[in-house]
Amino acid sequence: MFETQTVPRPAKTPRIVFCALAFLAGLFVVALLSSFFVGPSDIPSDLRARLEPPLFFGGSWAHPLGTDELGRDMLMRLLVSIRTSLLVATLGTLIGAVLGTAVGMVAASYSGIVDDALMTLVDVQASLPFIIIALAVIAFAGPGFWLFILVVGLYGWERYARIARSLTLSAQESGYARATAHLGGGSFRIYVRHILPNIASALLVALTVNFPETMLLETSLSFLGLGVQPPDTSLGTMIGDGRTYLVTAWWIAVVPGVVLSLSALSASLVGDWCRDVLDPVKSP
Amino acid sequence: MTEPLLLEARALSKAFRVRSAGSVWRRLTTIIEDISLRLDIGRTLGLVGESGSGKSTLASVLIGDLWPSGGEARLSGRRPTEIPRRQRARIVQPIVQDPRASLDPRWPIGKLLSEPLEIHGDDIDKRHAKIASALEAVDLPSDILSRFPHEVSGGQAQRLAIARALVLDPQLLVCDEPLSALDLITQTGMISLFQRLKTQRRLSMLFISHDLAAVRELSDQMAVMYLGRIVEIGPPDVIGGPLSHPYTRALVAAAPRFTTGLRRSGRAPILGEPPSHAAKPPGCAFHPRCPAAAPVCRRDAPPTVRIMGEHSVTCHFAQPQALAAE
Repeated sequence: MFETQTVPRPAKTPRIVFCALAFLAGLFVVALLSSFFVGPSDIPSDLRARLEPPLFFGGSWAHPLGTDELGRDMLMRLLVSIRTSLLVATLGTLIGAVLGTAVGMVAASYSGIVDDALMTLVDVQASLPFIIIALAVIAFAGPGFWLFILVVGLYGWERYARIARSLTLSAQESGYARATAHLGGGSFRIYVRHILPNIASALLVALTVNFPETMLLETSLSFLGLGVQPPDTSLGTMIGDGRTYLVTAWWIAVVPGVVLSLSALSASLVGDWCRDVLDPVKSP
Repeated sequence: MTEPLLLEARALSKAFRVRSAGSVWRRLTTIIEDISLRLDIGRTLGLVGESGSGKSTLASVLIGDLWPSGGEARLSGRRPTEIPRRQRARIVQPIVQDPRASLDPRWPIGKLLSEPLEIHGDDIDKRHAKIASALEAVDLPSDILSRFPHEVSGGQAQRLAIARALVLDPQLLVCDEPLSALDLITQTGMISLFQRLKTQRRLSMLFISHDLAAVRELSDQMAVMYLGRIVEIGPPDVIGGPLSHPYTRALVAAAPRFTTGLRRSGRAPILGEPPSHAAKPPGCAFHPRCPAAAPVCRRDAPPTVRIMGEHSVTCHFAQPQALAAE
């Protein structure tokens, strides 16, 4: 058998990945900084300056990205929206990752009926269109910010569960897991301290792939009016608001739309790059 | 009251449900059958046999990883599966064929060596002393502690695996093919290491290998397995001799001899593959490959004959040598 860990090949990071990373980092920094001086309710509405176009499209420096139908500054709204959307997407992704990984590892460690039950649940989840479930839950329980995050968090958990289960099943048979058991180590030590770090890279890849999807889900639900509720605002709510003015004031929908597409694209690029770097097949 | 035997098996058997090719149903297949053996403190029992003869299954049942299907295994007088995991770890430690796989690739070696002590709740300052003494016992420098498992050689990894077992001060090492992944020079070093452990630490060992020379050198008692049964058990110097089981003799004849440099001659090597556990031949399981097979071998299961002293052979043609012993 050949050792796969010979000379570490200097991986060349594509320039576009740098751009994507820089964009995402910038987004997070902006979101963090803006939370110190602007909140959703601090945006004044100036009815004399309604529907002003952005700079270079006939607008002025007073409102670089123009104003919306209530005369609110688009730039300020955008900052608040980015913060909300990133918060929902990040928390949502983490909830899904933690829940799915836990379910997958539990299923693998208790074989038999527990495994069958949990994996049936995974199959059920995978066979239902998620947006319908989300709509049903939110329509039934009423919109609320934390419930919304929870619902978004449930998105994609079944994928982590499948990955975690199959990786745990093979890691259980590995020498180090057996050795730990023979030394007297308990399940917590075997699963959390030995198996989890060894399977984490594949889960991390799933996480980076899942992030843009969660972001888009948040936007879709908010666009449908079931997500983030006014006065709070997210990229999805902004796009939803701008829909009616698309012909007369295109910037209300287009500005958040561009930000959304760029961040989803960046997250996907970074995710793909992570997969190449952390691929468990390439680096053991 | 006498101290209980360290390791004992009485008519031990283990069967698995196995799905054979082209069949929907899983059939109960016996992997080891009617195994009886005893091992005292400070002694070493060598176990030899072809691949697939059930050696590793036997080891797993003896250390309590598998439940026996029949018969009884005893470890310090108790059933291995009933001893709590941590207590069992203080009695018996397995040494496996692939030592590198048994070391978590993400943990530095120092952490891996102190893990058993952490599990057993030893004091931090006692840990260092125990780790140092274990490293010394296996001849490893202490600067290895800061490295990772993939940064050491195969022989060092096997020494580390042994050191990791030694920090718990077990009474018994169950070594399952500990040499077969190592080159010849490293093997020689390992054999002398095991010998030192035997004498200095009074460790008992169940030493499983298909390297007859190594087993002969290390063992006080040897057992030969064929298709799930022990066909011969006895002191190393009589194993393979003229009174041995035909299978053992063939096994010895098949072993390479570096000392003479001559090709073996005279004895016919055994032909063909061992039969599968699922379709054992009737009578004596070895008869299709046995040069001395007679009609009785096809019909009846052979008796276990005590040749002399502690030497027993399971064969229709085994002759007790009571007179010769006088």
